[in-house]
Amino acid sequence: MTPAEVASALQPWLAERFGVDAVVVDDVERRTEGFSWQTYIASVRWREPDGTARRHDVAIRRQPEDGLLAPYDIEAQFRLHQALVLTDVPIPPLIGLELDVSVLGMPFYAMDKAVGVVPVQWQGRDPAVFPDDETRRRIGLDFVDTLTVIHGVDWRTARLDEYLPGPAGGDAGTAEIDRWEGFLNEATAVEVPLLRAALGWCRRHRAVSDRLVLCHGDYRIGNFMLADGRINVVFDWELAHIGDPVEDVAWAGLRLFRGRSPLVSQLLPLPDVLTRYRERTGLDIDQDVLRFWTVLGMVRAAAPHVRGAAAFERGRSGDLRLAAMGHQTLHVMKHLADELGWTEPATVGTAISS
Amino acid sequence: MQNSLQRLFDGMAEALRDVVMPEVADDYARAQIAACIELLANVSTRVEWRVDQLREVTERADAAVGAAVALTPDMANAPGMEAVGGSDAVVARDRALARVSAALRWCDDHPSGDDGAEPLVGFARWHLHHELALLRTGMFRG
Repeated sequence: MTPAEVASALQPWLAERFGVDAVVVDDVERRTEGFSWQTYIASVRWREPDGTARRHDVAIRRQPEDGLLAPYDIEAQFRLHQALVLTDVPIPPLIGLELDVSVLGMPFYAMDKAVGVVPVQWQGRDPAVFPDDETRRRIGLDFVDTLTVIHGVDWRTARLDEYLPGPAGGDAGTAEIDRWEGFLNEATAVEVPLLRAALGWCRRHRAVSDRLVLCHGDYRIGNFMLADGRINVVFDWELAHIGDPVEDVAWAGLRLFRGRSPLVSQLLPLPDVLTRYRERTGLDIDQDVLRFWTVLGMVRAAAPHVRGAAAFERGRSGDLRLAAMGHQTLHVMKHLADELGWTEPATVGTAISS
Repeated sequence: MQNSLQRLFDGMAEALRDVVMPEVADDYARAQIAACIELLANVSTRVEWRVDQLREVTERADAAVGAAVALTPDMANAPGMEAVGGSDAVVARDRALARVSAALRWCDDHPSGDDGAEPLVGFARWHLHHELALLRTGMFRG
């Protein structure tokens, strides 16, 4: 949809949500950072009965027809967001959910637009975000602290497990291996043996902590916003689930999000992340557990790339960036091979080295 | 490679025509886009994936599966192991890769699977580096 079409479609819907007769929606902008949910930001203006001019900036999350992480469950996303608004997790207030596809072509929900800057992995040296090492370190500590706030959410009382994936009585490692193997089974157009081999490694080396928490599932640079040097919003909860907290720690530290930096999400050295996390939660992260979740994280990182290219192949998306992911995933798989010691070109019959 | 050549050609032409062209005002630039669309359409009828590369992948995958079955004969009856060959080189490659993955899944489920997995993982490693050697771009390099 064009920005003008989005504006026109949203006007009656937002007027109803704000309890006024009519609003004007303008400055609609589609954000292009993400490859999954379609995010629009817009300004909503109206006049109160007394003539006072009002403006409210909103963000719209529209469910894509297909994409990297399909199928999507927008109701679960909305319910989770509703639950998190009641906690200390930094997340914007909600405006409403719309399941009727006649409005925007697909279901969507609206929230307040947050104001700040989003550091991204390909601009990890942006002086406007990271003017000096001390600032980077301070943001890094806040990054870990915010993760511990997420992991501290009382998911049992909030009954998040009623609609989020989780181990359901089993162990968190097996649950995630099964989930991502199932995802690959559905996603893959042409088999990728390396990912199957890595899943086999994960099954043989499964190691988990003794805790179950609300995992963000995609906690890293690129998925939070900064305002006044502090994290004011955590984005992109579509991979949230009940799981092992170490999964989020390992994910944040993947090479994919480090670029050429040695720092976890280009923010903080891994030992400092582990120390801070232990100070805040009491969990001393075991190296075997961290490695297991790192390897599975790399499979998780590669799988949506495979899914994106397949979605393009099947004509479910015309976004050429998804087709390009079919090549980009090779870099993620190289990280995976490096982690497992599968670095050198091997001939048939070469022994497994890890 | 998850995409067929025809889908890539069609997708590139569609993106140029439907997404890029409406945003370009300069006449010369629009003419370049139109020429790209025309070239993509006409090149697409004259090219195919390199058969030598497809055959190399297929032959190495088949050899790995053969070696794995020799080590663990029960694997031969695993689900997904039956489909082989095909006169179309792309189809044959896809089937060969599917057999490797089916064999790896069998290894995960069976105590004797570690033995059979060795040649399969060896192939997976070779396959990755074979694909990486063909890569010319990458935002995640490093």
